[in-house]
Amino acid sequence: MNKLAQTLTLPLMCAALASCAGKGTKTASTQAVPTGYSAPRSAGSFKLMPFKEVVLENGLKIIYIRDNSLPRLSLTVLFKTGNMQEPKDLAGLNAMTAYLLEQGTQTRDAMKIADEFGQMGTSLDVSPGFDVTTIYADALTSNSNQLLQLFADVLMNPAFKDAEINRLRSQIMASLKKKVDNPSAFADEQMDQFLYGDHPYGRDANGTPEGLRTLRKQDIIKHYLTFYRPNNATMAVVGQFDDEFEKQLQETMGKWTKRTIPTLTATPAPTIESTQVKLIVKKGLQQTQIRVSQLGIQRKDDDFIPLRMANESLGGSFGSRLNQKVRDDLGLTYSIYSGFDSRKDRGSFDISTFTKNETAVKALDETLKVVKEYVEGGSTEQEAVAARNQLVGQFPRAIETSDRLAYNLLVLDYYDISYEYLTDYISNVNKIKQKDANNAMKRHVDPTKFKVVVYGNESIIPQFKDYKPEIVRLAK
Amino acid sequence: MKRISTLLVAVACMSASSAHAVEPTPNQTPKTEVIGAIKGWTGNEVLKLSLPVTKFQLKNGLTVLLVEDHSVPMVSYHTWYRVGSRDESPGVTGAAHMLEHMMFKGAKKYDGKAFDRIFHENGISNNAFTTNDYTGFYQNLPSDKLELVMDMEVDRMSALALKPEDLKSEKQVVMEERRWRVDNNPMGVVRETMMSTVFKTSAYHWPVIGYMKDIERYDSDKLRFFYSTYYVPNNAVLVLVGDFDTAKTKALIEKYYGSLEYRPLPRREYPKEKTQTVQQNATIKKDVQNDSFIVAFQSPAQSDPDMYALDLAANILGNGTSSRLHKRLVYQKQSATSTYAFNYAMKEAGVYAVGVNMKPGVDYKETLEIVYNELWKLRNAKISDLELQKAKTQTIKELVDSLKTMDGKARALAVNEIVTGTYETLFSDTAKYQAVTADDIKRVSEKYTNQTQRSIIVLEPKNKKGAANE
Repeated sequence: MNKLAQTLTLPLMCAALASCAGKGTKTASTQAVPTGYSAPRSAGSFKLMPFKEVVLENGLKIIYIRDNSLPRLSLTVLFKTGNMQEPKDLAGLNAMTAYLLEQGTQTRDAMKIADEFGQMGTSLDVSPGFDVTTIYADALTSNSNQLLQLFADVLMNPAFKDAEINRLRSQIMASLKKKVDNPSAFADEQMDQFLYGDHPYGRDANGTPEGLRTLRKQDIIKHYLTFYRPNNATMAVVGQFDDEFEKQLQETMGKWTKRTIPTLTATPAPTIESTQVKLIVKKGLQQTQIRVSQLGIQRKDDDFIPLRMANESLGGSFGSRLNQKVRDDLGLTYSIYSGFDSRKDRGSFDISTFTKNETAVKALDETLKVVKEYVEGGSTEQEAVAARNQLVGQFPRAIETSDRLAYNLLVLDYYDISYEYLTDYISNVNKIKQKDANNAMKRHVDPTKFKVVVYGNESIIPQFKDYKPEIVRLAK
Repeated sequence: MKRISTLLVAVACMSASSAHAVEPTPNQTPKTEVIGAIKGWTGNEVLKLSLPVTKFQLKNGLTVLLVEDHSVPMVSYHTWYRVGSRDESPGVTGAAHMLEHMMFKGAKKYDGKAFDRIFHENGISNNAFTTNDYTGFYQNLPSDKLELVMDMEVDRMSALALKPEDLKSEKQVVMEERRWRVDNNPMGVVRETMMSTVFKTSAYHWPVIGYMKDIERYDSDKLRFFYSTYYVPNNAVLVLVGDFDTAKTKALIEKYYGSLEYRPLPRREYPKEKTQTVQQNATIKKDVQNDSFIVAFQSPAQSDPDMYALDLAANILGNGTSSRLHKRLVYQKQSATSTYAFNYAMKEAGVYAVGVNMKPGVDYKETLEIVYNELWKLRNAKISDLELQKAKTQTIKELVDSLKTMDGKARALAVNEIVTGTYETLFSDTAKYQAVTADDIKRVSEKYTNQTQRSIIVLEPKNKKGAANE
């Protein structure tokens, strides 16, 4: 949900789209041969930068992409762990584990690690999420070896010292508390909770105050030993490097021990019987944030691309119906967009906008009207052509840089979707007919069953009485 | 180097990628050989950046930069104008930004909603932004749509519709934008207050988006005057990076833009900022969870060579987990959740600032003293070579990273051409940063960060009492 804006900007970057039937197998030509890099060939028209895959004995899969256009290289590790792998009463466990990696190892303390990354002109980028957690760092080529040694140390030898755990716990608690001052982020978080209930997607990736208070050092160590394993990770190595560096990297990462990874099941999200509105009221707000959501699809759903195409005309860009109506014609907002956020488990379909307090209900009414009309009536042929052109026309940006390509490959690998997804993307989009996109939208979006979160000041309460809302007043 | 992208105002917030401008640089014309790539970087050698730029000017004064790049079948198309909020006056603040919005509302050949619709139908993404000094429009297009975009840009450069009824609804949109960026966003209020406190007489005093009462009052005549004065070819820079043939594209540009008329620009006299002689204080009370503050100073314009040392000083104080402020306040004292520092150099003047966000329930006063102490240290003690090298590496790497995409290259070239008068400053910057010494850092700190030059902006909760400490 929070990634929506980005997903819209780069049609593939964040969700590394995939359409193909769930269980793709990797194309034979991408299988690793010691020095051979290859650009996968397929029936598709798009040629990717050459890359190669290697799987180490400990199960770590490495994707190499050589790119000499800039004197730099980057390392990314994607762990198949997130909110989904933590118990509710320990919410925040995965984020704590991830952030603590750079807060001290067996041979370096937190400040030394920060200094060493800093000296290379970089920092460690740690992103704990719902399904996956990514760790990224990059450097100029002259620092390749230092980068590798430091990166490996942080991943493989974290110290998890008590002082660091307490420091970080207090940090995250403080940032959770401050979220209410950022109306947009707060509305997103409240929407997630309302939509997903006790399902792990309903919680901030950084956890909850209760969970953070409860978790102990042994929980962190156990979580690390269970999920932060080479056979639960994929690594991407991108940029300017040579055979020697590959050899060294494999030697270094090969020392990491594998373990059996357990599978967990999540509490299902609640079903929605009819549209429900929740008003969250806070004094002093100058504007109302509005979120409209329902459960969407899993990433592996065959309707992934048809839905993306259908959404393009509804709320995907400036030319979309929502933007033309609610922003351009009515002047009710500066921004409105809709999108499908697809994940390992069922994701969501979300609409996000804001307006002045006085026009809160009008903005919601008009939004729902546009959605209902679109789901029931479908797009016009002209809209379908435009949507196809948008997806096809903007596609190259998603794989324009070697880092972006690597990210897409990592995500596809995570969802077990063939890389042909990228090579065949354009031809697959061009095959989608107007009625396919419209039918997909009808199948997956029910305009009578939305959950709605409205975050504004007291003046919004009387406006919404017809919606029979639940009202939550935030204490001063 | 550390531009605050949040000071920029973009026409759409659909993307987080509005404008990440590259730091403007001094107006020097070094001899950069264009090699078309980046020369290696080994140990202490200076990293040489270069791109194969073709630069030419049409008779009507339009400046054009072309970089052929066939990595993907797309073109990044940037049209930037040398006009921003500094060209406004009290009463019409935000006019440059309002005009930027109106540039999407139709012209002569492409009227009404045609811009949104045609971009949408042809697989083109587009947006725009306004800053204190310039306004930029850009598209990322499939390379076979080049002529279409050219035709559309020429149409709105020469014959904008500016219909009163469109202005009426678009003003509502901009008011929502202002509420979103400033009125309903505590940090937005802090930034606006910082600029109006640091700058009293210069045009940087008011926000790029303008004041609400001014936004309500725009009329199309005022905007038309702005448009006809500044949206002329001799006040614009066109930058294209991507999948095209240079010779053919040059011919196309001559064909499409050649007939536009050169119009002399008015003499522009910008009010000079008075040198500050006494500390300024501003306190904002809002319904927020925690204290936060900024300590800001007037700093020199982008053309001043001191800019490089100030960029590095800001990096040392506030860039990332290895910075002095982070280590001392977030890590050791554990009183703050985040710290930052920047040197925002504009055409007429700059602002150099340090900011801290406190943990809820922790009072800011003691931390403010620590910040003063950190500023004092830079004025009174030379930094180590290691720390200096770290700041340089981070700054130069940021420059390299900004050139990863076609759009990034186009943006970097455009901002340098617009702000310094030549794109070549982009390539000479690395050597300029490398040349900064520890003495320079001490010298600029002494020159710009004394007690009498400070502006302290504090944001604190309305009903302050010991909030529950976790």
